[in-house]
Amino acid sequence: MLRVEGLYKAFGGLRVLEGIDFQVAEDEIVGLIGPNGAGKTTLYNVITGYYKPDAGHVLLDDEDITGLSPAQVCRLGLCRTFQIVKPFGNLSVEKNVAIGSLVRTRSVKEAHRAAMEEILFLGLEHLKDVPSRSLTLSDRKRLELARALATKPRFLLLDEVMCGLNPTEVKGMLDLIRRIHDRGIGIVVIEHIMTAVMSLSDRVVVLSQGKVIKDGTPQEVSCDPEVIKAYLGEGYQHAGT
Amino acid sequence: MKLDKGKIINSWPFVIAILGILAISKIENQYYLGMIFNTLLWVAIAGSWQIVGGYAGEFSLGHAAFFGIGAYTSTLLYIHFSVSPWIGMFIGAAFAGIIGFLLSWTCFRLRGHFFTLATLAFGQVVLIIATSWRSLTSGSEGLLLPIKMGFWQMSFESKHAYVYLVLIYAISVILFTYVMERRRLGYYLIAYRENDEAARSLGVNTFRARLTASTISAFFTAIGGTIYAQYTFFIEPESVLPVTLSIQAPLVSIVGGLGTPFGPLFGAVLILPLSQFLRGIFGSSFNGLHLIIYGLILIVVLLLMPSGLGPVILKGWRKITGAQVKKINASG
Repeated sequence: MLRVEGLYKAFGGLRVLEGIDFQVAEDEIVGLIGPNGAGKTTLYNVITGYYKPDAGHVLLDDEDITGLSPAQVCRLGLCRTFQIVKPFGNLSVEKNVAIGSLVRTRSVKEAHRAAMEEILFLGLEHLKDVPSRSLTLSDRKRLELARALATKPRFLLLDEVMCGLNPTEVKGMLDLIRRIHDRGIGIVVIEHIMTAVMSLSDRVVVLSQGKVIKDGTPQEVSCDPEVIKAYLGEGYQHAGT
Repeated sequence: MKLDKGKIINSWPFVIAILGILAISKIENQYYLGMIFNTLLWVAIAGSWQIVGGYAGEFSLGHAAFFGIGAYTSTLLYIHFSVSPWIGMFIGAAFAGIIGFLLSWTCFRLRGHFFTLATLAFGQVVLIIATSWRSLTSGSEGLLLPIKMGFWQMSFESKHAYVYLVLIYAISVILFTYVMERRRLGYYLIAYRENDEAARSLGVNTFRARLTASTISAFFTAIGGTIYAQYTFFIEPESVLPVTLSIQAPLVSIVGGLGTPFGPLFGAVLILPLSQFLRGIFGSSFNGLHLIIYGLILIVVLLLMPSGLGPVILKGWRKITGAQVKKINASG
């Protein structure tokens, strides 16, 4: 269980997170939605140790992991991807993924073996020797996932992995996220493609101006007047019904 | 059989290297021996520098400090306590390693150019200390090493011995780099160089990896200082702590190819004999002309081969051997 309790974070006078509470279980896919600037990515950055919160706690199975470094958080089984993908550009796909595996083993040989498993899982085997900077956006997003999976996470925080993909690729990515979830990994997705989030998530958490304004099933969320006002827009309800 | 022939072709560089090593014993010309010593010394210094400068991408401009610390530590121990330079060499290296660790521990909080500036300042601080702490270092007068030949004193009559000594040093550095590149530390340093944030998200403690690298880098650089001191029998701040040394270390690495184990070898083999020859040819005719030509050649090399000589040479080599292996395979 990943739990966030009363997280506050401000940058100077700008209050980005104002008391966030939510939780994710291993058997859940949770959608995290909200307008731009709602604090979604900041929330990820605080959970994974890139920023220290001003107040509040991040708990992994009741163990307080607030303030640990990103590397330590990853070791404990919490891994994130970046909205703007960050491949190790000059390294081959295989080496990229092997670096993720190295957190679980000292042996480079073993890391490469484990990396190949993830590369096969993601269907990147034909690209394994290609330098990652020459991949297409869709493949880069897959590489980012492969690397994260190589760290053997218990929870995966995905930041707009479908952004910029065409409809076929989005479909492929949805399928992939479900398959990752079938491996027993709890997943949080930040996403702006509503149809994708709604079909994927067991639960949706709506963030607006640093606060959770709604936490419920996709059905409940899409009918909630406050959510429609803050994010989805008036047209959404009509489109949904 | 096919594989064996391929292996034979691929072992050519080793054959050439061994023949070259054997040939050193036949060279009697002191000028050339000195040139070989210098070149190999720079293979090792640049190789030590690039453990942190090339792999972690932390552009240090203070490595003269570690070279000088190595030279002064072993020399002072030798002069005052008759400690064998062999032991002094490792004490100096360990001392430099500790200093390198502490320097990095504070300076790695700085990013990019600021880190470089901090190391540059550090190098100057050590130079000033060595110059002004006269009771310890005799300042600019320098320190004369006792001239007492013998293996235990690391002092030899013939230049050949020094060449072989520095050869072992250079090989050790290259070998270390080669192995490191294939170990977790190498992967972590490269991951940091490529993208720090991504590396950290994958559980890489990039700070620790860089600290390890800079400690090792300082350690190896200091060993060069001792060997140099034993070779010249005289050290002064300007000879073992100059800022030019701090600059030439990255220069050799960049020309040879950053972040490749053999890069410093190619860089040093081009740069050192080149600068020496040019000084020999143009040094007397027109003051500074050799430096202008030297600079122009370096600019041209870097414009034509931005990733350095090493990758280009290795690529060419693979092309030739690949073609030959193919030919052999096709014919039989």
